Amino acid sequence: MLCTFCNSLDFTLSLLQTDSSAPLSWTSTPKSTKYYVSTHQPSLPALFASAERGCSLCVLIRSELFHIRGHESQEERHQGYIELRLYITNEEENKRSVELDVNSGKQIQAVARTSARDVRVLLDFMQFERS
Amino acid sequence: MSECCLTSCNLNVRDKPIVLSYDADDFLLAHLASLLEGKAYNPSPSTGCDENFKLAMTWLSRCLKQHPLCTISTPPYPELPSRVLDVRCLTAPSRLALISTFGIQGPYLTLSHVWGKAQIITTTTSTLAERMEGIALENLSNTFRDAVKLAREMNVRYLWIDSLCIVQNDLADWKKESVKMGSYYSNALFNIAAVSSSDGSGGLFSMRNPLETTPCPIKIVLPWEGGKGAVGNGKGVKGFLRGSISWDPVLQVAGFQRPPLWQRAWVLQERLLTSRLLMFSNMQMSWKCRQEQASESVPEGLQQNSEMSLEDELLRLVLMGLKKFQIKGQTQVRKKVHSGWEETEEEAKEAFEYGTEEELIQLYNAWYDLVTLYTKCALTVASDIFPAISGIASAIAVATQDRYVAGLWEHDLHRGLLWSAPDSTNSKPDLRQYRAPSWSWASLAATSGFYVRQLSQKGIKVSTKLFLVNTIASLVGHQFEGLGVGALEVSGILRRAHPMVANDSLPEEEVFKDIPHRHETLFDLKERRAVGWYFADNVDRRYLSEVWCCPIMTEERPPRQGEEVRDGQVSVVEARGIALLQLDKNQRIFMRVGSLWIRDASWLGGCETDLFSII
Repeated sequence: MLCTFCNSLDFTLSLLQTDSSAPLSWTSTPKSTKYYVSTHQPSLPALFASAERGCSLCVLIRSELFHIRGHESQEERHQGYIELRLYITNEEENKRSVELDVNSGKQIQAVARTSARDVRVLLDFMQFERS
Repeated sequence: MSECCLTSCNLNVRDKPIVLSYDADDFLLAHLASLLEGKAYNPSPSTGCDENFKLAMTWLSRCLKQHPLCTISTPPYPELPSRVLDVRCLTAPSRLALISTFGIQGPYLTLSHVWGKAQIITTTTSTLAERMEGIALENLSNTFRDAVKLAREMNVRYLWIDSLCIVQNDLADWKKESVKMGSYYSNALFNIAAVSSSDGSGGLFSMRNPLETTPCPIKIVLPWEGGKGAVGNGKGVKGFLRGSISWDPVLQVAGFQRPPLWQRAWVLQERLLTSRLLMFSNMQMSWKCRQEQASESVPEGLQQNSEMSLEDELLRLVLMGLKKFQIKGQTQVRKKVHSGWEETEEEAKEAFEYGTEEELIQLYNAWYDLVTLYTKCALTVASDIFPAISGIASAIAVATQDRYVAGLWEHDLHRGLLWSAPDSTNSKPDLRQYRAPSWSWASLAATSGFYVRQLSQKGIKVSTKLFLVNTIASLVGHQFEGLGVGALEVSGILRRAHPMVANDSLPEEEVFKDIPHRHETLFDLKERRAVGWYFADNVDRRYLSEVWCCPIMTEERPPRQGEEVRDGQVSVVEARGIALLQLDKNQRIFMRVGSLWIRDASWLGGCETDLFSII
């Protein structure tokens, strides 16, 4: 079961944006700083509530958040909205084509945006099919 | 069990080899999407669900079909252990009984589990006959019951569990079986690991939220059309989202957060000797074979090789019997690459590589790393220190043709002797019971590190042949299972020094500020100067009035910034060695009490070579 947000992950509705903190020092990906956005839950409590209601993707994001921690604070400055980002390489931008690698997938980040900091969950979009 | 997996796969016959007639990889890819969608929309909270059994069968099938490294080292049709559980026994009401195998061949599974403090069912001399008539499932611990269920679901008839298949109160049976345990694990079709259970009540299977690990079926709309693998704007593309980072506890094989099973010393060799491992943690089911690892979250699997260090790779080949060394002969003999599947089994078994001297050192290094990991694990019975790792030691001995001497290797003794046990000062009184000679790391129940594994600084020249001229280890007892007495006959240098807790008297102390504070300064009272440092092996070996310095290795390095050197001196030569306590002045018998560091090796320059024993 998917919630309304997870059921319609649409990266065509935003402009190409720039991530000033990418590439991240603690991970080799994304190599690109540019991304498209699909808006998601308006807050962490809303994400957790959706997970409780059984949305598969919200459960996955919540689970990953628990592992990386950093979201536990109840302070307002640590609460923010969630967005999903599809990072685009320069090559993809030039070709205007997104590469979906069968083996390593395509990275999508779920970013909990707060005034204190961004908490990032790294996800892989997989197709499990040979091209 | 799933028809799709087993219609052409026979895993439990006595008179036929395993046959797989479909392409398991194509099967996996073709069915993965539907399998994952099924899991996502009808999630089972137990790791012991039908979907997981299908997944496990798929991993196994693919390994049998496509992984020559796994299959070469595991005969498809091995001799069964002396006793096994027959999980399809027709004569027992529960269909479960202990049987004596008398040389029967066939695939079987093994179980790695934590005995724990809870009482678990065992076989003793008084219950042996009863177990062979049948075992009621309700008498089994949760872990054993789950393992029986898994064996049945995987269509494997025989299961080996140590507590039931070895007569626990029969010392002769235990000794006979314990030496075979390594081969039991290495010949098993796969080993089942109850990773998160701290005792038998924990069970193999766990309840968890499967959505946290199962890739989530999703449709996304991409910004552009066209391109390889991409789908057009507005149509959306179907796929699955999963976490990029695996948090599975089974990956935590070292460190404080290890799951209960990985904390047990016996399990180290169970984990390393088996070709295939089906693991159940409190998070998910996962798979590891010699060539691949996979899990519920990464069901398609990942190749193993990329994550392995050179030492791990060498050790893997040695444990699989695919690597041998000629340590006294030529260094490069022949290299036959095991191309695998087209070869007959016999040809494949002979397709091992010969290693070079350099690789041999790397293998010894791998052993030292393994010992460090091993000594971090817990042993219930202290005297099991050698038996619990004997399977790995045996494999290395076969590959190197070297002699295993109380946890070290005869041809690498000069490096192996330089171990230290930095946390042993807190050891408990019962750990002082004798179980190995003092020169062996196994003499202490403490984490042991090896100095040679820390030698990574550039500009250091190491010599290991200056001082310890000759070593002959004379041992009493079984090479791999334990020792009565082990004496090391040494021809080397000895010089007396006096440990003192007077750190502030050494102006060079700040140079060594990274050394743990439990060291003592070594003084030469005749020359009235400090000459180095002494690191006691154990709390009861501190504050000795004198020790004998037995240098083993010198290091030549450039002077550190600010270090005082003689005019024109361009390098500093230090010495590393072991500290000995003299037990009998007439017979020249010593015991090891610690390690030492002489900061100027010229202090040892005038000493003559002496003959002495270390016990």
